[in-house]
Amino acid sequence: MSYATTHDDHHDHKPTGITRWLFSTNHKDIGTMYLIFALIMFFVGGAMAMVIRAELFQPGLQFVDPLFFNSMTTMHALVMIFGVVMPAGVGLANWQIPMMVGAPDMALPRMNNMSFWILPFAFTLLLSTLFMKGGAPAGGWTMYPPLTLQTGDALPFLIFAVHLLGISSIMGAINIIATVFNMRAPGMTFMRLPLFVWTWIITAFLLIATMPVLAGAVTMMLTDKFFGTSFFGAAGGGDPVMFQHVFWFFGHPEVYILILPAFGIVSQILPTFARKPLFGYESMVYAAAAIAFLSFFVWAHHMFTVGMPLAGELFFMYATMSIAVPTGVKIFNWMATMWKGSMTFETPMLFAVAFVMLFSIGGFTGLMMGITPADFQYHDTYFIVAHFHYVLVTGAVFALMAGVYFWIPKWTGHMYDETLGKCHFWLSVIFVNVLFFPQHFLGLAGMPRRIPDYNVQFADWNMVSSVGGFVYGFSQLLFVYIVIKCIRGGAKATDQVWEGAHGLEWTLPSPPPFHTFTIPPQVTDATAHS
Amino acid sequence: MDQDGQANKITPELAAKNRRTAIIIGLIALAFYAGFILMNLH
Repeated sequence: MSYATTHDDHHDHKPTGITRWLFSTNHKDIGTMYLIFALIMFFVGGAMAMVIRAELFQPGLQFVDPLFFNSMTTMHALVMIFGVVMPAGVGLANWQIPMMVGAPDMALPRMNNMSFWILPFAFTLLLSTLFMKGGAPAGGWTMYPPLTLQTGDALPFLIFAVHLLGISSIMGAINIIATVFNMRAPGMTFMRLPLFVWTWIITAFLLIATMPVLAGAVTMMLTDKFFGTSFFGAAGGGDPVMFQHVFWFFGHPEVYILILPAFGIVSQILPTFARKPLFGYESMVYAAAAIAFLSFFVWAHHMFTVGMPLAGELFFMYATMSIAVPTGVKIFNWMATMWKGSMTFETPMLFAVAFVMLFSIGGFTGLMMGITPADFQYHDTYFIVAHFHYVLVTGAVFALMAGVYFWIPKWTGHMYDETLGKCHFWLSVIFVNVLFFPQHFLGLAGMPRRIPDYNVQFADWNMVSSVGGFVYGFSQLLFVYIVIKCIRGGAKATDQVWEGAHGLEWTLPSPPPFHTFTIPPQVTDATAHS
Repeated sequence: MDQDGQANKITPELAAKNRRTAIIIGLIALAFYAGFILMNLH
């Protein structure tokens, strides 16, 4: 590999100034921009969450009016899903996939640039609605008509922003598929691909199949509002429930779009710090594919209370339960990877282990909701809010944090501050549970979601949850400090960075040159994934 | 595998293959988009 490195150093020219970023076709720079964008949006969406938790700190209306509160829940979700978790995942993919498969860059670098630069425009459109007549969208991120059709001037902005985000995601997915299918290094067969690459291929196919469905749904809503059609208007012969079916046909696979890359990150980290190969590599690949396949047949579990034939309820209940099987395979394999390993607990490993434990809690509550009659009790309560935050915060966000800690020494050439990293982890893991665990109790006691005020019986746990939210939120500033400190300096990282790290990216210098693998590496079993 | 082990250059053939892949997948996405709207026309 030193041969490739020497060659790369020789050709390490890079543009300078603002044009380096505006017109970038370099996968590393574009990956960096995605990650910075996601981090900024994390604090925008987090600020909205702080407004929500401040209002819910005690019963009664304290700080904001109910419409604005509803805008906050709606915008918080849209920002966190489309502005944080998805772009952060694509940022990691941009940085890592070419280096992991031995490609010189992404297959379609100019399209890669467009995929990114659409995002700031889309979110400018979306966030500008906060200052519009009628306020920002407040009908929930699910945008159900007819409620969402009551949105003021913000509606076309919301719809256009969703279209742009869809186009960006589809272009990103095309790039990942083309890169992995066409640009792999000699010897990098599919069954030698690192798990992170595998989960991203599967995610990319999910994006191709589902983002157009969301775009179709909001296009129909646009024509209903402005062009006199009645796709979802009952008065004109349309069916509002059809929107829910179309939306969730996108919406459930979307959950796996968010979590599958997280599975991939954790599957890279656990073997590294357990100093053992990943247990059951092939079964991990098939399990990820099975989860993605099954995700297309479970959408109506979000709609049990809407009403559907008994056969439908049974089908969607059993289909939902069946996803637990491949997910269980993955949890088992992660535990088996750690079993009797020579484990050390650096920050990425701490986040990855926390992911396995806490994501499992989210998975189990998901199973509870999959049981149709039980779901009639849980539906639209804080139990649901607790469930999906365990999946998306202690699941997706924790894995993304783990990924950043894992790869940032490679990207910057410096080790991050391990003591501060551990502080960040422990503050996060303690207070994220203080934030979300009591919401299970609130939901089971009957507190509805998406309300700014509540009965006094829910006061205590709401106060606890808000305290957890504030500390968790502010502790993320520590993460920003750690990242900036690591970029600016620190102990020099070695090429391999971690003792147990295996794979092509660890054969490159830290930081890697601007252009890598201009001479393709020859991949063998020994240099493939761990 | 598209590289022959000599150089990792993006040859015109590889670039064309990448473009072809992008166009095919893009058309599939467009078909899903139009299909879901057409399916709801009645």
